[in-house]
Amino acid sequence: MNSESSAPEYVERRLTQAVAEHHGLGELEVDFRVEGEVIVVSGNLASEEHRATLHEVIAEVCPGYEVQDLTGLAKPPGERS
Amino acid sequence: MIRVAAMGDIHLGTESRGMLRPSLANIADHADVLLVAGDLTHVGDPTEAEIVAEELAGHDVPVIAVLGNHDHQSDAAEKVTLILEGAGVTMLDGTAIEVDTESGPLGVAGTKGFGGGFPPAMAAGFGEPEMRAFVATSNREADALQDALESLRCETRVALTHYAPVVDTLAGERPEIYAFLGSIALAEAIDEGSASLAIHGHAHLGAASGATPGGVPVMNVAQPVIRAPYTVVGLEDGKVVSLQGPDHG
Repeated sequence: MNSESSAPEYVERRLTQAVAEHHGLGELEVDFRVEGEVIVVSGNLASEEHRATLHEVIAEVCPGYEVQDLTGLAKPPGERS
Repeated sequence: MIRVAAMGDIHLGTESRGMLRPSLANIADHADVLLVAGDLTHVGDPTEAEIVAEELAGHDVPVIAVLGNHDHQSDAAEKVTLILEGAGVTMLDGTAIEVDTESGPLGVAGTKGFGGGFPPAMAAGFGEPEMRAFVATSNREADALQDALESLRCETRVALTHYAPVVDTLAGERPEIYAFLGSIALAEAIDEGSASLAIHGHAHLGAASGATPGGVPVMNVAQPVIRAPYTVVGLEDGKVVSLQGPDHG
C-alpha cells in the first residue's frame, strides 16, 4: 500500500507479503498473528538461518513490535516419515 | 443529506432490454446519484454493453460505475467502457469524480478491485510469474483506489469497487473462495483514503453490510443480496446516517 497503517490485519498482510517477496527465503509455511504490539509468528522453517532472516524481515517491516516466535524447524527430507 | 443509490451485479444480457430501466424511472425522488458496482453485463460483450447503456442513459441523476470481472470476459473492457461513457455513465478505473448535489459535494473513487484474500488466508506473491502477477494486480488495484480517494478534496467520499474489501460482507459465501472474492488490501486503501463509505458487489451469496478494520461502513450491493433494484445510503458531514434496504429497514 501507499502508507503504513497499524490495524492487525494490515500488519499481517504486510508481513506475509514481505516474507513471500524476500528473495532467497522461500518460506510460505509461516503464519503471523498480531496482538497489540506483539507479533506472534508460527509455522515451520527450513533452518536457523532462515529463522534469523525471518526476524530481520519482521524488524524491517514492523519496527518496534515485540516478536513471539513459535516457529519450529522442519525435519530434513531424509528424516520425514 | 446526500442520498447515494447503489446496485451491483445487474448482469444484463442481450435478452435484458427494458428490464432495468422502469425501476430507475423515479430514482431522482430517492437519490442524488446512482453507483453501479460492476458486473453490468453477462460476459462483457459490447452488444450487452449497448443494452446496459440504454438502461442507464438519461436518468435524472448522475450514474457512476466500475466494471466487474464479468465485464472483462470478452476481452472488450475498453469498448464496453466507451459504450457506457457514450451513454453518459461515468466509468471509474482507479479514478475519482466529484459530484455537486443539493446537499453538498460527493466524491466517488472507484476501481474494479481484485482477489487476494484476507488474513489468515492471503495469496502470497511467490513462485510462478502468474502467482506473482495475481498479487501484483491485487496490490495495484488497491493502490489505485487509495490514490483516487486521496485525490478527492470533499469531506464525503465513497469507495466503489466490484470486489469486496472485507470478509464481513462475504458471510454466506464459501470461505474457500474468499481469496477470489476480494482483498484486505482494498480495505486498507479505504481506511487510508478516509472514505465515508465503501460499496461493492461480486459476492452474490454474501451479507449486506460490514465495516473495515478502521470502521468505515461497507455495503455489498450485489442484486441477489439487496433483492431490490437499488439500495439508498444517506450521508451527512462525511458519515453514513441512514441505510435504506431490505436488511436495514
